[in-house]
Amino acid sequence: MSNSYVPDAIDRQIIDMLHDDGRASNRAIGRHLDLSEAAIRKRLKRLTDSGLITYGLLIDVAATNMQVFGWIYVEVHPAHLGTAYKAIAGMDRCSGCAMKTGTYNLLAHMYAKDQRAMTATIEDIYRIPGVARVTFRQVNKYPAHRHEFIVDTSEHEFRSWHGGVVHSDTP
Amino acid sequence: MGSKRRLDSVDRQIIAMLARAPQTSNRDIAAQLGVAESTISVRVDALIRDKVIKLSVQQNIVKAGYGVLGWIDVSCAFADAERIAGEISSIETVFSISLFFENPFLQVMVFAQSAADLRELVEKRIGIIPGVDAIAADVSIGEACIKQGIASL
Repeated sequence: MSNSYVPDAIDRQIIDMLHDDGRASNRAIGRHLDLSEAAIRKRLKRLTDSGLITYGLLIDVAATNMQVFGWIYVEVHPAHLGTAYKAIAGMDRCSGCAMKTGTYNLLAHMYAKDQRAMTATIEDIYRIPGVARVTFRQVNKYPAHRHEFIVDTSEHEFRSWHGGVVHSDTP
Repeated sequence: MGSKRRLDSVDRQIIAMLARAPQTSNRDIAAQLGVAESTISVRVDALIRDKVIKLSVQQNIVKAGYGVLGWIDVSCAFADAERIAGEISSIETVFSISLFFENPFLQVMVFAQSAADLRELVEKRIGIIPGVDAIAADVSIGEACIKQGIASL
């Protein structure tokens, strides 16, 4: 993987601008930073090719039908850890997953539209081979979330997630 | 919530298209939905202005050199939890703070460049905040992903 590219100060300014407006044109960015459109294009290609940045759409939680959220702690037999990770990280309702130290060696962040849907998610996790124990900690609120960052240790297909997208008008 | 305007089916189709391909132009969206580009432009601007969506780029912190992720459980009195969360949120390498209904009331997700950095964070930044009774930290080993998607805008 070509993951050794270290962004410089100009790259950081480009990233900051695109974080505010992901559809800012190369020309507009170039004008702002006093650089040519071609120079911006070249830098952006380097940033995206190296996997450092990804274009994305953030949806406000209030615009979705998600009401219940929290962290699920899973104890998995070590022989099944890799497959359990993939199964959970690939779930619709999972916004993040990680292998970690501790008795519960998998941690996942989950959303659901109601308590019943969260219960179904937990039941699904129990059905994954090797899963011995599941604990759910419901979150009351999030005093902080730096959504300008994502985490991705490998190039997998789990990069973006908009489970359920937006709720319908009809009650 | 209540203050958010109701989304109609055109809004939802726009959002679904942008979720699949964030860089889709207003012109392409208009062509696919069979409406005028100016309509899409007005809608997208309103969705962004009303903080329903945000088109953005996200940085992969693993690629930025942060190889260690940590989840730090912080025990404290319930009455102190929000104040402590406020103090912790000013730390640059804090990714998220979750507030639970039972003690440990706070879980702080952080990223660090090394185990030494993480220790520094736990002992010198979080551990010294008045009201913090105990800390338990877990560290990522192996695969991890935090996806882009839903946020509180």
